[in-house]
Amino acid sequence: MLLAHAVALAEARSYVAALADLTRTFDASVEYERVLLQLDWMHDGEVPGLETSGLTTDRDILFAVAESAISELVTHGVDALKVELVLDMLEVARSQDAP
Amino acid sequence: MTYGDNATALRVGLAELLHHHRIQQRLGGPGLHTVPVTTTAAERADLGQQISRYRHAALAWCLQAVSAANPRINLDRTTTRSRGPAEELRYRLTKAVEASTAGLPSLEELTSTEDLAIVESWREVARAAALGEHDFGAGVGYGRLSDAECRVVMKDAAEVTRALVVLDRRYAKVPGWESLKDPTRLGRAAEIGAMFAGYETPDYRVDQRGWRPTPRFVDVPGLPGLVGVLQAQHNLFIGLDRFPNAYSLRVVLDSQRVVSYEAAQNAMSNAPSLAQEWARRTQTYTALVRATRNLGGLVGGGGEAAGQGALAATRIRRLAAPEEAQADQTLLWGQLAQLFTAVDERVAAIISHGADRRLYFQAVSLPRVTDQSNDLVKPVRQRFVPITSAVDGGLLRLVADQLRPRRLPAPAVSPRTGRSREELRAAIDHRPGSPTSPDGPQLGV
Repeated sequence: MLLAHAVALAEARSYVAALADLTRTFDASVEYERVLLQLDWMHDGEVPGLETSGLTTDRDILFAVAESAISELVTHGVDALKVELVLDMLEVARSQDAP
Repeated sequence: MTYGDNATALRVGLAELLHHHRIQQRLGGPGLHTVPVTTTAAERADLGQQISRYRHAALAWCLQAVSAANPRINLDRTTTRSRGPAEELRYRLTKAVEASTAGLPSLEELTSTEDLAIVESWREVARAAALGEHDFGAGVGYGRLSDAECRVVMKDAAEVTRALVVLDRRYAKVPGWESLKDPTRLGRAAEIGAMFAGYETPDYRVDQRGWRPTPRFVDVPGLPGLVGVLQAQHNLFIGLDRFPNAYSLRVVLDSQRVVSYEAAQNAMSNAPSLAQEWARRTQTYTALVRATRNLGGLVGGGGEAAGQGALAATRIRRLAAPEEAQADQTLLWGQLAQLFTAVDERVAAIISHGADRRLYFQAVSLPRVTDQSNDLVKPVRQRFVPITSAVDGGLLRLVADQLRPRRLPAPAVSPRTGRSREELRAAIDHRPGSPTSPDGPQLGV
């Protein structure tokens, strides 16, 4: 894994984790955690650590950054279909995040 | 069958035997003009030898129990003065077993019902002793038991030995009967051993230990409803026998969070106390899921456990709404609670083992010294390091404080087996005609 790939993955993981922590419903939290697990599974568990401290608490911004970082993974050689599936899971999680 | 079950069966059988006097007549012999003679002397001799074999089995159980509670290796060169109460009992039991020529009963004798009630009681005693031998190799042994639990085993063995000594005197005139070696010394050693073991507070949790059949994977097509959840949860428990890698562990933790949450929601109306407990479990697993996001570790498998965990989570989410669910599911909820406890214990052991053996790693930010950069502020890098108390990020504390099931304080008396212990003690100390005997003559005031 090259540095740029690791940075994009760390960013995606961090923002998805932050979203999971800030959800208003239990189901959405579970779905965001699944996105995180799916990202790790795609990389066979060899992933950089994540850090959620210092990130914004605005869910829209967090979602946009996470979506962008996940989309960027395609440019680092990750299978495009898998990335699309993760993006779909991310959308599902967001749709569940309604009180 | 646990240690408590087998020891209870042993005590119940002996208490029953201790209520019988006039043994010859109970074996069909002469002596009572109101009861006809039904057996010949040769038949009674055969019965005497058969009972001796049953007695030998009970004696062997006593020796194994004392050895399990106090395994001093070599007592050959010791004397009565140099041996403690437990060692003296073990020594006397060893000598009694060695001197007995009756031998152990055959499998056919143990499994065939006897016509005479007294012989049948002996058969049940021997059967319980034979089954109880499995317990000493399966959790009821020195090193696995606490001191208080050892004292319970020791006291049980001493009481059973006392009962055998009392019965030995009563059966002395039965043809073919083989008396114990040094019954007086054996009886005294048993009495002192029982007293010695009863000095301090016992721990009756030993009754729950012992041999159990190995749980197996339930490999059948998905069962409907809550039973299907139990099936997947059981299989998850079996799957956790294999050490999971970090990813599989995280999937299991995530699944348990979902299962606990949904179970709490469903049990809210029928079992509110369980629902409260499971809501607490949900919080614990939520915290664990967060604490393990940066957990790494490629050693191990656990794919099967992860799959079963995900299956349990999926199935419980598809359960009917609480108001539509069958009303009488209390038993199933109770079984789910037991599985939760078992899984919690296993997961706690896995995380502790992974940390101790450095199989799991935690990503932590570590400042580092570098000579490759001229910047004044050095970048902070993340490293995966073994989980130790300094860098565990609260994971180990979470496991120790919240996940590991709390061990309840030892009950003062065993509710299930306490009665049989009291009854055997009363039967041993019973003397016809004594003032304390309920059926004996009462002293006038």
